[in-house]
Amino acid sequence: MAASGAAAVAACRKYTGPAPVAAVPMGWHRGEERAIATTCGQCPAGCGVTVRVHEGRAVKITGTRDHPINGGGLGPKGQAGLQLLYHPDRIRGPLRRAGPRGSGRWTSITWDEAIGALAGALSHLRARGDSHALVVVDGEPRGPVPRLWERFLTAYGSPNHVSHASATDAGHLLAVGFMQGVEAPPGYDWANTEYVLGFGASLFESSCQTIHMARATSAMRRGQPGKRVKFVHVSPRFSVTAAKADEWVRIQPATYGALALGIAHVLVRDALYDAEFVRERTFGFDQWRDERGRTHRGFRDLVLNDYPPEKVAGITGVPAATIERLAREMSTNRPAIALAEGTGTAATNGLGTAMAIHALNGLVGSIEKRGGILARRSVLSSWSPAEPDAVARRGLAAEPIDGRGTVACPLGAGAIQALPEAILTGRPYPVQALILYRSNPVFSKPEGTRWAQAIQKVPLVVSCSPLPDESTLWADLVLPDHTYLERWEIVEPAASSGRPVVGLRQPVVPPRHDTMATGDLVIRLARALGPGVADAFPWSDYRQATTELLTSNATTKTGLADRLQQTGVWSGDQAFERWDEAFSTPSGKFEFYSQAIASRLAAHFPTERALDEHLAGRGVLTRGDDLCLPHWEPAQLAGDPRQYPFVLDPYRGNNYAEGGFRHLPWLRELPASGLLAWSETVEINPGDAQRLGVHEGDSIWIESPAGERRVRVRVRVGAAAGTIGLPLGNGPWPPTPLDAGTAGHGLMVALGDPLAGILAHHATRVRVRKEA
Amino acid sequence: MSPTRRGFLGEMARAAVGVGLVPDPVSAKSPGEGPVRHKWGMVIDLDRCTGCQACAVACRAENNIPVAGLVDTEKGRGIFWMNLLTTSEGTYPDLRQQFLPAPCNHCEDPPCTKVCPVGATSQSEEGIVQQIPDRCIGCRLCEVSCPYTRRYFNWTEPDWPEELREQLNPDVSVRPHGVIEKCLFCHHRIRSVKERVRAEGRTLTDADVRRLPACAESCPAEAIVFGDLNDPRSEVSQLAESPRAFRLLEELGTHPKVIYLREAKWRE
Repeated sequence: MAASGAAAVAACRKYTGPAPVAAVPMGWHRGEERAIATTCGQCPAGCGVTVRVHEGRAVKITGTRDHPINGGGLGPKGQAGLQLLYHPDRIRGPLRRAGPRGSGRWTSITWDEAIGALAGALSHLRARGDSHALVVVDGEPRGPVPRLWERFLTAYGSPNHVSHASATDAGHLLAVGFMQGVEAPPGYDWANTEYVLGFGASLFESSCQTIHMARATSAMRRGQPGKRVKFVHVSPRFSVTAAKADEWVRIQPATYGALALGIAHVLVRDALYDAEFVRERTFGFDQWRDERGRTHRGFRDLVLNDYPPEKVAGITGVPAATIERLAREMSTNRPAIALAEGTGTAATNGLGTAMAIHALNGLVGSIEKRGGILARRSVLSSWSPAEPDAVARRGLAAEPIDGRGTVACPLGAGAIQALPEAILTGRPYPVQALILYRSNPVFSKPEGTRWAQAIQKVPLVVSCSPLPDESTLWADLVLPDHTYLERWEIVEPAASSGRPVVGLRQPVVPPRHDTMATGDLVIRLARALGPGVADAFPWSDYRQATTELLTSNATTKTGLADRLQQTGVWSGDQAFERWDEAFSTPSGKFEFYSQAIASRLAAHFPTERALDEHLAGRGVLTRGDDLCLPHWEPAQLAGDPRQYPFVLDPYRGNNYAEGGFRHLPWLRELPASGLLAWSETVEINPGDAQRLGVHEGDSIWIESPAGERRVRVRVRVGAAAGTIGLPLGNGPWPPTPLDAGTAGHGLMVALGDPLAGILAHHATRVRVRKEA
Repeated sequence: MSPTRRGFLGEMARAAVGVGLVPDPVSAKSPGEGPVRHKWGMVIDLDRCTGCQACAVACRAENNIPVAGLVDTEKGRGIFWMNLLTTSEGTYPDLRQQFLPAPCNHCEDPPCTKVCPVGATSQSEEGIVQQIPDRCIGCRLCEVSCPYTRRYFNWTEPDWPEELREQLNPDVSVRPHGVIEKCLFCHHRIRSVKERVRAEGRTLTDADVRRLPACAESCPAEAIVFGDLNDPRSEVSQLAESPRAFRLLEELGTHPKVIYLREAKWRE
């Protein structure tokens, strides 16, 4: 026998697994299987999933056949939902802190006690006129629960419904909002487009559209004989998306806006744009005169004078010839899509950049066209509005703590990164209670150590997390949510291809632990607060509240409910050229010159001088009309370049969404993550690694003005020299409250777009310290 | 919402431990009286693939492959019946990167089966290179003989936290410590679909198997197609004739039944 002795002995060891055959739960027969259609909740994309349940155990998640978003396939994140459902670290039920904060000592309490305790504290706050001092940080981008929190705060009397938007997709959303007057992310008609130009959008790794995009790209390339759609990806880092694109255009960080305007220059100079669309459907292309007789600059003038390709080449590092060619390709291969999704625009020049990219869609006439960009059509209706009482009205009038609608963030929807400062300084007022829903800011937001300090300063901290994350460890009260596989709700996913989609989420197994859907928690909490707040919540439970969004819509009622029951999804048809839905701007057109920006600035700054002084104080270089037009200026970076010679380049890998999945082993251990899959790593260019004297797998310290973190080195040819690539969501699991370093995204400095609040991912200088 | 046959098959598989020992209800018939013998193959379109690794996770979930953890991962002991191999070349910014979803190639002339001293690995009548864990003595000769490195040695006792055992697939047995394991083209699913088709009184069609293995089923880009290479009308047979088609290390004469498609020339 050729067998080696040691291995043969190893093979003879007693085989003990798998577990003995489990008892069959009530309501199930031995060998019985069910396939339950529901909607994935691992990221906001809203893929349809069918869960194979065997004798009461969920054993496999697959994509739902013919689903409008994922069409039967399912990405790695969706499949790993099983490891969330059966995660051994899940919080078993409501907890009250029993030791000092962060001690990890808890007492189990009942839901009645938990809701009673929270309602007591909130009721006390409200009675003494401090209702505005309640802050809810809500990390779910869309859906019925965010609507319920909004309603709760309206009835209770706090303006502080703080979203994660500034840290995720804010630039793109604000650009569409200002240029089209539409509040929701648009859809893209991938199936009929001819050309896609992506500006830093990590389409194949982690975007709102990853799975839909995988399908679409596959169809663009091989779906129709003789047709081959070209996908060009622009980014500094050579990512999976860059490698899989037809062409990768390397660019200097945070200069996407200049490139887009350079391309616009060529389109306008050579009359390659869609003249009919620009004439009929846009505003502010040429200079115009307002009602007071003042002349304003037009987009044409701006791009022709300020962004000639040679100048843009100097800013971006993209050769002028490439800029000319991209413009020609975009014009020739219509309909074409310019993409600003994701964190590509996340820099202090974010709003102008996102507008510059979206302006290309207007120039080539892709708005509302087949193969272009389609405004989102909502199917779900709204509840009748909540009526705040006198106490609530007083509370709602307070200044929002995230700067929304104030001079601190005049063009944005609030900046979550402003919270630690506000809490620690107690300005504009001390925060008395903080509720965290789908949010772990100590880990997933910049300056994590400051977040930890800020949380400890708040008298009452409540977490709804189903897992003991970094922020939950500091909480006073833990009210664990169901996972999405245990919950009943109606969801409306992101727009994907522009088809309206409604998804059903239903429990595939009964709740594993003594948890509660946060939707039910909000309703029960409101009821416990008594009249005034309770009146806004007439529903018996969350299921009834969310069903009402569906059934009160008379036009779709019948077909929708039936179809949802069977397949977990209902979808409508794409619609094109619905101009009244696509443009809710003051002009009713696509606005190159956003009049909404002009009026918002005018509302906050009575004189031009006041505005200019504010801009100068914030380090903004742009002035006048250009603030309302797509524009570019250099991004601000935190840290002295002599002390911090590298620039941090945070990126989303394909195991990232919504704060990351480091707690799910299947996603941690993806094969392409290699030998360092379980370590916190950064990517360094081979030349830089050689100069620093560090090698693959070495431990080093990354230091930024916000803190330091011990990480391991991946030497990668795809990292640009002078940058340190930081995969978002990287971190230890399980977390410890006394982790000395800055876990997760805490190395980043909390800089944002000074007017719009968009969190700047590309804003932090760092240095490398070798381990002693 | 109705009970299916798969639960029953799961019991069978559990009882038999090694999936390779369960008699195959269709191919066990002698040629002539039963349907045409299948030869299973897979086509992976690299122009469609976006490198998302859904296939790798689907495979681990379906086939009860344990997570390696920090220590074993760093030692290169992670098991991926469906792997994703990456090659990078060039210097910034002149770069090329290739991604290769990599299951067992199920060679027509497999080097691995010939070296096994105990008959633990062999080729099934339908062309699947199969592995019987109970016979394997862990000598790893097959592992070193595989030119594609698609055989994995089980370095540690497979283990799951108790709650995560709930999610184990009842149709697939767990392999013990000290044996070789590998991709089996999800042949428990092939057996199951054959049962179903027979119960419905019809013959197997291309549509029944096109996305049958867990990797093919999960692929959002529909880059993975499965089917019968003996059926000239099957999608895999037709795609295998594409000018974009190639097999890995063709010069070795192993005749892989996993065929890749790519517009640009593949660089090994």
